[in-house]
Parts: sequence; structure tokens; C-alpha cells
Amino acid sequence: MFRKLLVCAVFSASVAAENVPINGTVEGNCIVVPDTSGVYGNPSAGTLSTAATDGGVLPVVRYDVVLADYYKAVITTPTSFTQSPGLSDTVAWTGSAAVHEVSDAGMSAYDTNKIEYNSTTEFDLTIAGSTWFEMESKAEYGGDKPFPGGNYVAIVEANCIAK
Amino acid sequence: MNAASDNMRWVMTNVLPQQMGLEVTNILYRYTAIKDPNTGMIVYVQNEDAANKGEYIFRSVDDWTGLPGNTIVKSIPIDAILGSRFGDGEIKIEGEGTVEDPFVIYSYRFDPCFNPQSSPSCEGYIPDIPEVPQVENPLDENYVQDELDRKAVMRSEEDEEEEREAVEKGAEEDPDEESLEERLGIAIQSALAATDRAAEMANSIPAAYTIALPTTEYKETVTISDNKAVARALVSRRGLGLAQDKLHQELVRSQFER
Repeated sequence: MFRKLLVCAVFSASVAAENVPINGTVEGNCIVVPDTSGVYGNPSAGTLSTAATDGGVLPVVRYDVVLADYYKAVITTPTSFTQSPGLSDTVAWTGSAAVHEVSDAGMSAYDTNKIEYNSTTEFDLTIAGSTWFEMESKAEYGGDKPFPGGNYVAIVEANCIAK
Repeated sequence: MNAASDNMRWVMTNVLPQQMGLEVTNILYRYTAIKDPNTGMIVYVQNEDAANKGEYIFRSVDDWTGLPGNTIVKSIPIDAILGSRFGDGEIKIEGEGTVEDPFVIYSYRFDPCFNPQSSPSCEGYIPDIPEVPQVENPLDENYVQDELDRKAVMRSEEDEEEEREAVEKGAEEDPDEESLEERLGIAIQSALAATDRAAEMANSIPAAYTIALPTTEYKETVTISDNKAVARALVSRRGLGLAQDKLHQELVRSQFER
């Protein structure tokens, strides 16, 4: 009985399957690179804005696309502060994204064909190359109150999504 | 350095250093096209080919036709073209529209081994061969040559005279007789040499090989009258040998005991 078991064990070992790995690497064909950090200007007591006319700096993000017409840029402007003093009232947010610079003249059409919903803007990246997008963000404190003194930080989310 | 900072045309000698072995590796340009999206506009950023008139060593085309204007940024790698090939550059517009804030930057590098002789580490470098100083042969001097010519003339005259004398002397003696004597001398010399060789060979063989033995049978001529005396002598000699052996063994043993 013992022998039989032993033989059975040896037999089962001889037919055991091996897992053979197949390795592959896919290079990133769409890269998002932060180019310029934005700065909120404070044109009025209850307003924070990145517009240059309001004393702010527009944040810029660059999309490098290797494969044309495979990706879309999805940019969401802030709807809340990630860091701020305690706010007792609501904040009204507005924002937009637009093509800032292009590496191919045809990319200037991205602005014409962009899709906007809520605080998100989508650009169809139909041409390989680099596209710079700039975002505008504006926060207005509720009830025309002044923002409390302190440091305010908000985040723009820029994604490259396969179509 | 922005080549297009002052004008839409620029002279490359003011942009690139005039250095042998300079190679352009990249051109980056940026400008903002101002135009109506419905109009046609083509912008060329280009450099003439200094080696071929009417052709371009670099030309980038941006077709803005039917598109809204925007800022374009392009970085174009160049396959290390010699800077001397880059003629005057320009941003040329065809159609309706304008270009604002043009910015053109040429990236370049120096090839330190463009001239292989510039450094011994360069491929194809040929080491300098020092100039061999011209040494004037003193024999080429005119007065030396004159003297040598004069001596040569004198020597040839002497040689001619000697030959003439030899001919005259030879005519007095019989050349056939002299020749016969010489031949006889050679024959005698070789015969003597052969005799000497035979004598040497004879001396090298032992005499016993040539002398005949008187007899081949040799009988016993000595008889021993007293056999015991011989035996004693033998025993005595043997005894001496044993004594020597014993002494030797004692010496060896004493060596080991030490």
C-alpha cells in the first residue's frame, strides 16, 4: 500500500504542469507632464482667480502623445480647496481648459472640438505630438463675503484616457 | 539666442559661431499665428542651403488653413548637418494671417575631430614627421670635384701605362711554357696530397692489426707448488675485506645513533 502511494506520488509529480511566464513591456504612449503651477490672484476680497488679468497664473499641463487618435485628454478644474482656512459659507467654482500651445498646427482644432461638461473638458488627441493645455479656475465666496486669511490650495486633475 | 528676435529673416553668420566642425543638431521654434479660422495660411520656417542655391537645408511647414490661430512649438532634431551649410533663415507666410513672437533656436555642437590632425586622439590622425635637415655633401663642392676628376684622370693614365708595360713584358716570355709549368705544379701537388692522406690513414690503424701473431695456442707455463699458501693468502685478503666491512657498518650505525 505504501509503495503504491509512493509510486502514485512520483507519477503525479512527473505530470505536474509548469507555469511559463510571458513578459512584455508596453511603453507609455500618452504622458501627462505638469508644465506650470497655477497661482490664485485675489482681485477682490471674495474672489480667487488664476486669470492673468486677476493677478493669477494659469496652470499649464503638457500631453505627449506618441500614437495619434488613440487617447483623449480629460481635464477637471477644481470644485473644492484641498487646503484652506475654515470656510463657513459655500464657494462658487467656475473653470475651463483650453489649448495653450501646440507642436502641430492641426492641434489648434482641439479647442474647436472640445467637449465640456460640469467642470470637466475633454480633448480628442487626434495628432501625435505635444499639446499644452492651460486651465482657468475661479472661486467666489458665498454671499459676497471676503475669504478668510490663509493659504488656499486647489487641484486640477489632468488624465489621459484611451478612447 | 533667438535668431528671429529682430526680424523674420536672419543671417546665419550672426547666429552660429564661425567655427570649423560646428554641426547643427536641433532646431526649436515657436510663434503665435494670428488668423481667422476660415482663411488659408501656411507658415514656413526655413534655411537656405548655402551649398545649393535655391534649395533649403531646413524647412518646416505649418498649414493653418481652416484652423484657428494658436501658439506652435516645434523641436526638430537635425542629423548633425554642418553649420556652414545653413544659409540665411526666415519665417515666410503664405496666405492671410500674421506671426507674432517668433522664436527660433539652433542647437549645435562642435566636432573636435572634424580636422583629425587637431588631436592625436582623433581617428585618422597622422603623426607629424620631423623634417630631415638638408645636409650638403662636401664632395659636391666644385673644388673637391675638380680635384677628384683630376685624380681620376691621373689614375687612368697610370693604369693604361701599367697595362702597356704588362703587355710588353708578356710578349718577351713564352706564355705556353708558363702555362705548362703551372699545370705540372697542380698535378704534383694533388699527388702529394693523396700520399699524405694514405700515410695518415696507415698511422691511425693499430699495429696489432697488421702484425702477424707467432702462434694462436698458449699453454700454461707457471705451476703452483703449494696450494695452501695461495688459500691462506686468499683468506687473509678476505679477512681484511670483512674487517673493513665491519668498520664501515660501525661508522654508519654511529651516524644513525647520533
